[in-house]
Amino acid sequence: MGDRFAADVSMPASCRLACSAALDAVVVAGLMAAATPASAADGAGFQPTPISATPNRQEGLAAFAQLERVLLHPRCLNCHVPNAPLQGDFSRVHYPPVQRGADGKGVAPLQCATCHSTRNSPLQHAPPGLETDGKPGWHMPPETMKMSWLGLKGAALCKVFREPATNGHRSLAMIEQHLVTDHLVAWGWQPGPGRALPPLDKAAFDTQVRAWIRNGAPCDATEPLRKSIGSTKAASTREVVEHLRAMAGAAAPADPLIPISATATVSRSQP
Amino acid sequence: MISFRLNGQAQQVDVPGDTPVLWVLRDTLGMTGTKFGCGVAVCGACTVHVDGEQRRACVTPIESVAGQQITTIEAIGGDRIGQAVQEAWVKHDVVQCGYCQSGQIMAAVALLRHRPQPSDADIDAAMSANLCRCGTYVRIHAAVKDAARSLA
Amino acid sequence: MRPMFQYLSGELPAALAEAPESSAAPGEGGLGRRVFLKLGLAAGFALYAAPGGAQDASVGGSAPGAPEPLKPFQQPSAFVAIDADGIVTVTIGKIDFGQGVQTALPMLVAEEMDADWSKVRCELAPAGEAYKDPFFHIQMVGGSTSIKASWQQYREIGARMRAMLVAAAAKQLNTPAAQLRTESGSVVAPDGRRLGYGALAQAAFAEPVPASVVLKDPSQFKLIGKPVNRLDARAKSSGRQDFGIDLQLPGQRTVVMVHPPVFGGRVARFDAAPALAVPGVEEVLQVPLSGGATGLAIVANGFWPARKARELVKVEWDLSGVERVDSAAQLAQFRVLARQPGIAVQRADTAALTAKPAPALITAEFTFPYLAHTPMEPLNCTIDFRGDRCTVWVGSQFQTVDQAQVAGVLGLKPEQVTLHTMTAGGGFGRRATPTSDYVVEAAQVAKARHAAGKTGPVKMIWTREDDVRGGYYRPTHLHRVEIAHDRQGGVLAWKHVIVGQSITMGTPFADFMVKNGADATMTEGVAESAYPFPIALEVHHPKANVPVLWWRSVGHTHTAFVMETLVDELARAGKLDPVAYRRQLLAKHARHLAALDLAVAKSGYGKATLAKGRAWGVAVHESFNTVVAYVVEVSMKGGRPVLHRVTAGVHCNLAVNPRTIEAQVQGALVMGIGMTLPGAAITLKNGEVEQSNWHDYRVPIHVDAPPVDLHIVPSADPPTGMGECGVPPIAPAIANAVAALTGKRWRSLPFPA
Repeated sequence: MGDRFAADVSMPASCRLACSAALDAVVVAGLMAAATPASAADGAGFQPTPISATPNRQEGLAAFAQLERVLLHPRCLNCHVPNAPLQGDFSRVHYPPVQRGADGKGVAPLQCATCHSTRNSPLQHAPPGLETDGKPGWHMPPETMKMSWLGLKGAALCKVFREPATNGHRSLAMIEQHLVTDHLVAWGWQPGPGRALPPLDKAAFDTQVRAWIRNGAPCDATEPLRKSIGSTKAASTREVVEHLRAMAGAAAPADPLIPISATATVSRSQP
Repeated sequence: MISFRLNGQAQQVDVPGDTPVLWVLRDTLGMTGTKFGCGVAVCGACTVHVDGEQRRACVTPIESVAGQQITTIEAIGGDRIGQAVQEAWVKHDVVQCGYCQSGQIMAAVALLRHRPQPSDADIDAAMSANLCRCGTYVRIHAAVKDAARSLA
Repeated sequence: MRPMFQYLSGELPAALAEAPESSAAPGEGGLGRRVFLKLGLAAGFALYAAPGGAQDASVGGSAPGAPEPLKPFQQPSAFVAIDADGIVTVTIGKIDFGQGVQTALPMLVAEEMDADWSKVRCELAPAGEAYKDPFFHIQMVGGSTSIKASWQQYREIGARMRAMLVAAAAKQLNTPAAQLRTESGSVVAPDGRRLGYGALAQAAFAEPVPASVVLKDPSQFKLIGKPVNRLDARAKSSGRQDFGIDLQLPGQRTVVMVHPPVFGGRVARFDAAPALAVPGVEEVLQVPLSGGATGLAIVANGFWPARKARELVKVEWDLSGVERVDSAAQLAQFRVLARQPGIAVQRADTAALTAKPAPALITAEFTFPYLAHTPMEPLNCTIDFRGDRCTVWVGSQFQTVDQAQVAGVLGLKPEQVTLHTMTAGGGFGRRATPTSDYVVEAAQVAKARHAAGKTGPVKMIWTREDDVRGGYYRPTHLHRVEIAHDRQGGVLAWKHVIVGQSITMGTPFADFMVKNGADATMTEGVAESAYPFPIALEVHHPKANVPVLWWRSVGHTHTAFVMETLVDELARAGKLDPVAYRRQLLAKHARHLAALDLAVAKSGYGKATLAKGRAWGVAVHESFNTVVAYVVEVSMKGGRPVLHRVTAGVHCNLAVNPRTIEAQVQGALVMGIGMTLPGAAITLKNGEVEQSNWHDYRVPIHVDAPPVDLHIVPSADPPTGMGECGVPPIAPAIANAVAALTGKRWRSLPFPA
């Protein structure tokens, strides 16, 4: 995502004013498209948890230890893998044989939507489903940001999970947004009959996520605590647009899509 | 009322929205070419196409295909690839009991749409999602390759 | 050709029992059942006397030359219809559930009739007297006997039909019948005048049916022996073939059952209110099930409401007094039994096992799990019960058995029950239950509804879960074998114990399958093995609360694995080539040699150099009078065998339709490969079956099927079976290749994960 934005930035000066509006649309569209698809309800009104002025490493580590139990549970782990998804409470090889695909939605003719439809079935052992904008919404992370933590735990898992380089360019704010508001994550707690639930209920999980972030998102006993949660996707999109306009010389228009978060700051890794 | 298109014709059904397409086809509309094998999308006997893409009707709620085109085995012969596949199936005498074959053919058509010249590995990967208890896999494999040749 | 046994049992319901007057009693001509077994006629449905003699088509009768009135199974009018356009519809008494009889049996008729094959169609007969198998006296498909048992019968039908057409033409053409010939649907006079069968049909059926007919010599065959594509291929490739489950009748209701979690369980209490709240669900009835169990029937206006309702209905089960089988405990029990003296089936001297100095010994224990059939079409049955009559639509392998049992449940006579044979989506033995289990279940539902004043047909559909959990499995078995040999391929002693539930005890089939408490369906493949080994065979038949049944190739599913891997092991112990060793042992068995030699020759075994990492595996086994030999090419990947190619040699005597035979071998060997796949096992814990659908009961998938080269040994002798015979030898052939590659002997199915 970052690379794509960088390419969009260079523009001839003569074009700047006239092109800026079109550019806004292209960039916004590009960023939105590159973002994990979510229904309109996802993230609306989401307020990320800020880092506490007095973060407590031990509390943060304890919180991660709890939320890790969920991350390692089959309901999450089965899709956070390096290759084809796993399946079931015992994380077995997925049948039928399927592949992730570039966009994480499978490779035709066996896309995820072939068997995973818009809702869970009332029947045990039927494939789970959920709806995104009226369509089958089941998918894995895309090829370019696999977000796999299969085989990891503790500090190693935490770092893969936390660092934008390995977690799909997500700031802490975006991680929180994903975990707390994404409906595919929430599916883990409404997985349909016969599937084990994660070891924490959703509310408790959300609480641990916030506690971890609030306390500086520590992964081990010694590294510096995080000082910034970065932007949410929505806020960062707005910052991109503002930055472009500044370059183009136009005043930033009011953007109805993107609420300005008073505590949002630009994270270097954000486009 | 849920409206959709079925094999090119407008269709409307008055059933609960969570009713799987399979049972709308079989029980509501009397179209029994699409089969019930397992009910949990693991055998592929219920395979239909929705807007040209392969879907397992036993787990697809009818409300999710509102406004879309469902194509079933009864009409796939009207499609160039579908006809080639059916002719190959007859030429190679693929069927034994025949119960899985609607799904096999719909899956084969989906494969050839996306991969007109599939390798053996491609066929294995795509067709291994459709079960056949009679073991017609050897002839299915030959028929898919033959259909691909005839379409080239 | 005379049947050498009689299907008859005093335990049969009166309606099922055949009048004994026309059949020979067991032991006809002084031959006992023991001799049957030695003639290779074991287990159930393989019961011919001498092959050959097929040309003698004199009808029935124990006194040659004294014609008896024709029996219903000999009447063309029951089997052939010809319309004005010359379309010949052959009605066959056998169900087609994939094995191809709806093409092969009409071929027999069409050949002798000289019909125009392009105008031949096929229909499946309902339950009826004329359609009872002349040897078994019930209407049935099983034991790979359809062609074998019908070879004479259907050809005679065709020949009689031809004679009647010619007789009618003789009158119309004013030419003596002897001067007329028949050709592709027409009768032709010497001067070239022709009359099509369509034009002659009505007159032909008015002609007397000839008692005796002359059949063609195989050298005259135009159709039989040719590769002929299936008559139903196009319909089945376009969704236009109707199966039992597709039936739609006015006023029909759909029924989904609720079965107890343990066989024999009974409903203690149930709350149907949540189920009845589902729109479309009409009622929930308690009904008796097989084996003394009770369950519920959810009746709705379609499958989906009933299926949803099943997840909502609340049931408390009474499992008191019901044995709860546990697979681990059962295996331990079988192990103990295997070391105890059992029922002797075959005696031989085993002193060499304990000789001093000790000879070379092989001591091996083989285990095999319960297997479910899981035919693709879920079991289903539609019944319309009107109080004084009843119509049943079901894809049954046992039409007259089912008809009689339904009649029994409903208080009717069999003739008040019309049973239509539906094309079925696979069977593999599951649709031939001596108790007519699921058919009777449907009858119980119909009976309960009728008693409640409800009318209209009910279509009962078992879900896949009902099927996987519903019992009637291939039994689980343990073999314990101790062999003393001379390290040169010479077997000095062979003690063999087989443990497993009896399939036929407690059923009418026990009469000819069980002798002295030993069930031949368990010992076939060992008891009358073609190998000249001095096998001392004993059996144990423990009882277990799991219903069991024949599964495609029955006893051979496990005995072939044991025999062919042990023979391979003996060859390797003696540093002998596995093929050469077998050839030496089977020297007196021409058909075995022919099949084996053909497979070997065509595979390149012994000539071609295999790619690095590959090994050959060989197995040859006779079942149901047919010999199948496989030569396989295998490599190992990740500890699991990869099957690269199978070359098959088949001796089934005359191949009626080589296309069908190829299909049957391809399909059967895939099913045999399925037995080797980890997860291909039904296991029980605390009485409950652990598997429920194909996600946890492994069946073969497309990628599991190897390329297959099939070769049939040419023969003109009357055909032997083909439906099951391709199953037994594939698993041992693969295991033998694995042993060659790794030195490891896999002695259980499925193979290790």
